[in-house]
Amino acid sequence: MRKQFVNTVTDLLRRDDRVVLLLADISVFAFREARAEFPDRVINVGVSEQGMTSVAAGLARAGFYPICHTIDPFAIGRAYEQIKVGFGIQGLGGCFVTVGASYDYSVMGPTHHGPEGVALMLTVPGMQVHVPAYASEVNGVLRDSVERGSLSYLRLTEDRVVGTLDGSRDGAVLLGTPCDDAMVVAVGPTIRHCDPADKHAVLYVCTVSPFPAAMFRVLKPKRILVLEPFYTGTLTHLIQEALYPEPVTIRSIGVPRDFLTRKGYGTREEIDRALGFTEANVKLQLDMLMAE
Amino acid sequence: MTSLQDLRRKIIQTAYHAGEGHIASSLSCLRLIQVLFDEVLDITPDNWTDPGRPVFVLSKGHGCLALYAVLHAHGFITQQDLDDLGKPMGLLGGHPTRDIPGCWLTTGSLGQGLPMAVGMARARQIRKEPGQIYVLCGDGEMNEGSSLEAVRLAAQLRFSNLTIIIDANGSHPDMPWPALFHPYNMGGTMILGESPVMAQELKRGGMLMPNYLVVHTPKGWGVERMQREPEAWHRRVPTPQEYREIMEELT
Repeated sequence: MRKQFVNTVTDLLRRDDRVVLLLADISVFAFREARAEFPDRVINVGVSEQGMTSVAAGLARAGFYPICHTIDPFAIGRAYEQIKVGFGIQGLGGCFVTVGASYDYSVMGPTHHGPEGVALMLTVPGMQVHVPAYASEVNGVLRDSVERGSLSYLRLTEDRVVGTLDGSRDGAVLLGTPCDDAMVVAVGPTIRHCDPADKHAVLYVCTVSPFPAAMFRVLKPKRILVLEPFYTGTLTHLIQEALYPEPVTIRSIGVPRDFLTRKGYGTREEIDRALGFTEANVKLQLDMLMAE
Repeated sequence: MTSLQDLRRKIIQTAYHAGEGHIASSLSCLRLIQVLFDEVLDITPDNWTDPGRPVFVLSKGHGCLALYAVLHAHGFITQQDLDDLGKPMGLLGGHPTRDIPGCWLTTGSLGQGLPMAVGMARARQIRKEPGQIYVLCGDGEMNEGSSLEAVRLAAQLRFSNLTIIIDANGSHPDMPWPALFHPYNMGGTMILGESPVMAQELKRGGMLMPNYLVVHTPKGWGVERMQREPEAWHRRVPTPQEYREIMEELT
């Protein structure tokens, strides 16, 4: 996924002289060729995420399209106010591309985890929030963001799924045919835990904001199991608003509202299993939801 | 050109009628903004967005009453705009926004105008576009880590089209200004607010690096009671009697 990010951004730098890339000492080696080719427009600002974000806002105010990149909690959490003021309030476009997702850097500990990033960016009016599972979606989101000049948050993960599904165009893709009133909503890489042969419809969501509310209104599910690869309950209010005034029962498998290392460490896969991100647990939770 | 005393009266009048505003912090930076618009920027309501024109960013956004008074004197905004400060559908608020003619950036959260100005300077450097970027910061604001990140970044990016102006009004009187800028090879100077060479210093610019100008001013400059008790007047509006007395003092 990071390789796709490097390839697409390098191509965009070649095609569009408004594109600038700002790095905060992360992925500097991966972009070495782009830096050599575009020394003016590929800037490693060093470890200064707040500075990077506001400088990017100044570049945007002067007509450039900045792409800012570093590890998720530092790009989003540390520089949250710079994103809000520099881009949100000013009404400027730019793309924040992060690595690390919720707990890709699992063993690095809670300072390097970012399960709050999506919730934070949902509070910035006008921010598009993308949580892709597939490398091809990274390409689509980046090109679309530059073309439209939109304000975007693109959360990369090492948990990428191999496949051809692409939710970057419409934000979400419906898999299977609804045959009852229950539905699984799989956000980003959690799609890997869904069984395509299962009788319940699965809505794969790549773009959390703008929220694909129209799809919910067409499908009108009464019971929803949401697989959220970030803090659990982050999407609950969006689903309820989409279906209002219809009643809906929502259950979520997600990251609990706690710091993940209180009970030790583990690899990303081990944390996945501990949190219930497994095909077996998805089936179990669906059965329980249907029994309610 | 509108006199400094008339601009001071406009600040007091505007804040009094709105019931809002950082008067003392606006008075300290008023002469700086006046000199910039009268003698340095060379911009009008018709051409201020043209490519290559100088840009002014008020990083210490709470000093906006001074900016509003000067923008009004130069025809960017109207008396009605000043009368409507803080009202529903009003253009002006307690901090400046980029909706206002002559105002490039929305500021108010301290420590963000300077790094955004650094980005604007870099943009002109990439495009080889002329036009100086002037950014006015408060001395207290320079305590923000993001301001210090911006100083280092400006030095790293190496451009001379950025002038960092500090309104040293005593919010942080102990700041060692040369020690802040000189390690980054930035040149600059320190002057008093009433200095007759302020315009020349503002026009000086750097050679290869951004330059700085620290201007020592009293908070509440021009109003005796505010200069005497600046903390008490940080965000306070005069009573009707105080208003009459201050306006009389400024006559």
